[in-house]
Amino acid sequence: MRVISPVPRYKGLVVRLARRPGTLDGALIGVLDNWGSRNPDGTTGMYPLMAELVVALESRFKIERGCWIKKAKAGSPPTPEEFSRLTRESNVVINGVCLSGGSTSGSIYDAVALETAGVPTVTLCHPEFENMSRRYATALGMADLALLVVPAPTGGNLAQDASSTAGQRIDEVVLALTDPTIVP
Amino acid sequence: MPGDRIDLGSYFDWYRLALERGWTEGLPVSPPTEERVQEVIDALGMDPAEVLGSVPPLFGEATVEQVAVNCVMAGCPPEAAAIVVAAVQAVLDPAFELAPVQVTTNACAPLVIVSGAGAADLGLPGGHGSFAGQSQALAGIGRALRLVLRNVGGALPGDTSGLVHGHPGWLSYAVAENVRSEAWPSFNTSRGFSESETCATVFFCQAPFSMYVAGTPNRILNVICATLPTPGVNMYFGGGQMLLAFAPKAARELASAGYSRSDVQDVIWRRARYHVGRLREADVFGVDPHTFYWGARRTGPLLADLADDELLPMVDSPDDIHVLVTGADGQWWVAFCAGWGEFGGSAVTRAVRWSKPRESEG
Repeated sequence: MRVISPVPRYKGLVVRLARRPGTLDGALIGVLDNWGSRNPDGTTGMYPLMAELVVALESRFKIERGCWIKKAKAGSPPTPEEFSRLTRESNVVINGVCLSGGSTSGSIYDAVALETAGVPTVTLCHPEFENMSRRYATALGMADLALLVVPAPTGGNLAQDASSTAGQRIDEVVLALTDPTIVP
Repeated sequence: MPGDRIDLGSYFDWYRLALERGWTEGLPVSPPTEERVQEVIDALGMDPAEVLGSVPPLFGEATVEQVAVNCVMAGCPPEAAAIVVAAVQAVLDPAFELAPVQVTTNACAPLVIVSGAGAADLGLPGGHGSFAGQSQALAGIGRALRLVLRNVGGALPGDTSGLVHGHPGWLSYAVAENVRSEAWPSFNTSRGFSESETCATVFFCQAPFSMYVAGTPNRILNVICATLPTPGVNMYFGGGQMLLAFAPKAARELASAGYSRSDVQDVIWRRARYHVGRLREADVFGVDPHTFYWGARRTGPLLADLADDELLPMVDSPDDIHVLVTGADGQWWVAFCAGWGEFGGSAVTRAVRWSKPRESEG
């Protein structure tokens, strides 16, 4: 009996990471935010851990705040206009958060698109979605994509511990965005 | 690119291989021999090399041959394969947002709704057990779509998919319209197609939750409107779309009282609402209330600032409530299938393209 395999041959893509700048001094820091937060006045604000990471970077480097994009849908890419603005107005990007299946798919897709466009990117990810993030990045040809695996906030309080987590993990963010050896 | 050919000794060698390679969750699958696959391709009348699209999360190319292979494995009869092709085209439409759909933790599965003229022709049971796969064709259609998503797309729970619970519809999830209900025009018409066509609509949704709604038209609607708006359903968190599958008896009761399908959508949209005072009393707003109600994530006032008598919609508009007639006449049931919300999997419809004209389609 001769059967036909139900599985196609996958393309086996290999896509290189973007070149790292060496230092963040003078860099425009962009944020691609799939979740956001609501401020007390009702306006939409940045996801708390992202906001704290930007503050932590400001305390170490002479950086400028670049573009902050709050995506309309966590699982989908930003609009072409938003993406173009992000790549134009940022030298490096903090991206995420991979905190569910859909947001993992969306954020990893975005990270690969940003790296391909030449923008070094670090993606925040909750531990439950690390394996999936790596599988998805590999499928998109970028197995060495930079992830910052951070614990999920408890009790739905996104702001909880954001400042201390940012302080503890900022070295990894800097390394992910600047280490020239990260690019093979 | 043609699929790899594999020579095997017996059915059991095939089944063992399928289990080892993860080509099935465990249910038996028919061997996709070249002859059986060719039968499906012949019935489709399509070029086997034609690429329907790239299926996430691993982005395998869904060729007509690959779809035919998975149809054979699913036990889908060749004459129903055109419905599977339409369903695959529907999920590959960008409006369906298949990439996040394939990997979400949410307990939804892509439901194939077969509606219009051809459903009865193919012996698809829109009557008794309509969600329960009570025919080779219906069970095969749902199973074939699942196998395409698994084998071509590579969506595997615990590996590439974050699925937490899922539901039995992950194995096969398809339903046929009851075209003889005489309540409202075919579901096709609410999707922009004619009654004489056969359509496949794919909607990413949770398992049917059946509500018993016996009584007058008013009571039917009251029960639905009082039952749906609870904070645990996907609509509270995600908005999006939902499906209400009316058994013919309940649908006819409403139709005979003058309610059209769009009247029903409108009444349910206006009256099935979250009551702020009850949410507050139940203490479900949480630490970051904006996070948990879809409407509050966008713009507008913070939930904490709303008065107790405010009412919040479940979904954006009446059109986000799909109304289907399906099932047997026996009792007054309405099944509620919650979609995934604004995150993806909204209903997408494709007309089925038969290789030969069907009498029922004129």
